[in-house]
Amino acid sequence: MTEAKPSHPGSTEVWITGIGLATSLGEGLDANWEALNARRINIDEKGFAPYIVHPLAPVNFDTQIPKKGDQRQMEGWQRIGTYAAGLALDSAGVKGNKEILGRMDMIVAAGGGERDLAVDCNILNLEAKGNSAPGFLNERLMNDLRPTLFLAQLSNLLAGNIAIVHGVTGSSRTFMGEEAAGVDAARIALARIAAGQSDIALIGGSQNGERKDLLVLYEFGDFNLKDKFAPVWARRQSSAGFALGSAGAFLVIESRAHAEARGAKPYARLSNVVADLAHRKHPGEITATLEKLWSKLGKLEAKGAIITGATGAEPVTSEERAFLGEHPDFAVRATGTMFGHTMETQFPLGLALAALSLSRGALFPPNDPTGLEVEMSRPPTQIVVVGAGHWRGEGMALVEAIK
Amino acid sequence: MTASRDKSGRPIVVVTGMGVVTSLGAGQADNWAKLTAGESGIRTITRFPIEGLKTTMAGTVDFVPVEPFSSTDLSERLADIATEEAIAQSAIGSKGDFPGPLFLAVAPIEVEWPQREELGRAISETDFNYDAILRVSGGGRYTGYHRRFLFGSVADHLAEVFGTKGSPTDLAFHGMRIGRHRDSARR
Repeated sequence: MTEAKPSHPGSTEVWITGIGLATSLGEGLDANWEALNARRINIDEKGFAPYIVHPLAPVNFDTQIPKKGDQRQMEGWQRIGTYAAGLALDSAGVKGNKEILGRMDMIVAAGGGERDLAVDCNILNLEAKGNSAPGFLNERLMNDLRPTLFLAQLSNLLAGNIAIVHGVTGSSRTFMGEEAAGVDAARIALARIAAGQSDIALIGGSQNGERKDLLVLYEFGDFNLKDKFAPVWARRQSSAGFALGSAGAFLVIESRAHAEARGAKPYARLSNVVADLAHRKHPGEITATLEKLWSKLGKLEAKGAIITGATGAEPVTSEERAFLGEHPDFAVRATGTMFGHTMETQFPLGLALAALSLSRGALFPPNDPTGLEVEMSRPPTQIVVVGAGHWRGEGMALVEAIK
Repeated sequence: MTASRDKSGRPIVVVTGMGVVTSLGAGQADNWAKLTAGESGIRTITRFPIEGLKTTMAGTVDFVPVEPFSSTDLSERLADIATEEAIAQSAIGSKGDFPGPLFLAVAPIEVEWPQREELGRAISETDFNYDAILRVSGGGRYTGYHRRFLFGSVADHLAEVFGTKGSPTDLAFHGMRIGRHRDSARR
């Protein structure tokens, strides 16, 4: 190593050395980059009508999850995540490197398992026909559910599957809690490496947005985008909300010393991740919280870029718009327009796209008819990733080019 | 005076407050009394019907009323009781103003059967599918269920009630024994 443990905690520089993306726009960095530059958007307006979702682009799971048995015992979101995690390991050049994977820490931001829709509906229909004996529900669940379903639903089984399929067997944490979980995954992993408690970590999340049970949860709060697609900034009160998206986004982050010692090429530097929880009881609290987080990021050069996971839900999107209005010289990109809302995955996705943009020396073009997003002609050197949850939680990260 | 740092210069961490609710009882005193008296909290399940289930015994907390019931509402209530006790014993901060962050381990959360059955009863058609469930879910009738069944809902509630600082971190009950989970999944 070129550098021993840091002389004082928090001083270690952390690099992003691996990125894995499986999204509605495609699989891998080139496919996603090309689609972003072509301003392509992949939506399904029919399969879940009147709701709109961004379906996962076709991927060959066999390339990252070779055993069919492994694929079978996973639910969709776990397959997407395990696949994207494998891509990140490939991208970092550590796939199959038992020495490194054996001490690679992992923090996954995970949602919940998928329902067996047929079983749910059958039970409700039978109950509607008068089946109401005390043991009826138990009997149906005992007989109708696959015995493996419960395990396949556990949030921490995404990390479990990544450990089993790819051999990532350092410490492992699973964070839950919608968008904020994705922020925390990056925040805690960065803090551990910066403090010298970890050398290398795999972080990320995944979501299968093509699920009617998930749509039900957000329909309770009228959050789903219905009938007609509109880019995030064009969704106003009448069409506020998000289109769920399917995506897996994982990153390998490591100390600069660890990366240099193994000759790894960095995409970008992960300089800072900060998070907070606005009470959201009064107008303006989210705007104020975002401004506070902005001031904690570190030194920001003028005319930078912002990649935000803005959801399109209200009132949070309007409050974020007010915050962005205070920083008009920053070029903004909302990932929700192209990828849909991927919940826990939205912040890792933003980090991945920031690192990718910095490594390619260009910010991808705007995709916004309202004019909030503007062209950025010069290569970005800093990108701020913003994540304000549809319901709670605010986070921000500073990703910087390595010169 | 005892040192406040260990040999490597790291701050020594001490526990100043604890709160506990288990199937034995609520609070440290009750739990300790029953534990040292050799009592067990394992008993026949009364919280939900057990007809047809192979498992009939568990260490359930069946003495904390929650209405209307969901296991997330019960989790939240248990967290309230335990947090109140821990903060009171620690005598730190002031009411609604805990001077530190929250880390919480919670079980997975999803819409539960009482709520799902409520949706089913709201549907007038017969032989319906999930699209019908979706059609009755919006429009403000079940707004509270959105917040209730978010993964972040319990942590969000605790952060608000106890005034913890910063973003609360929700940890999944972790799979230290992932290999064993997998074995049973394969069987």
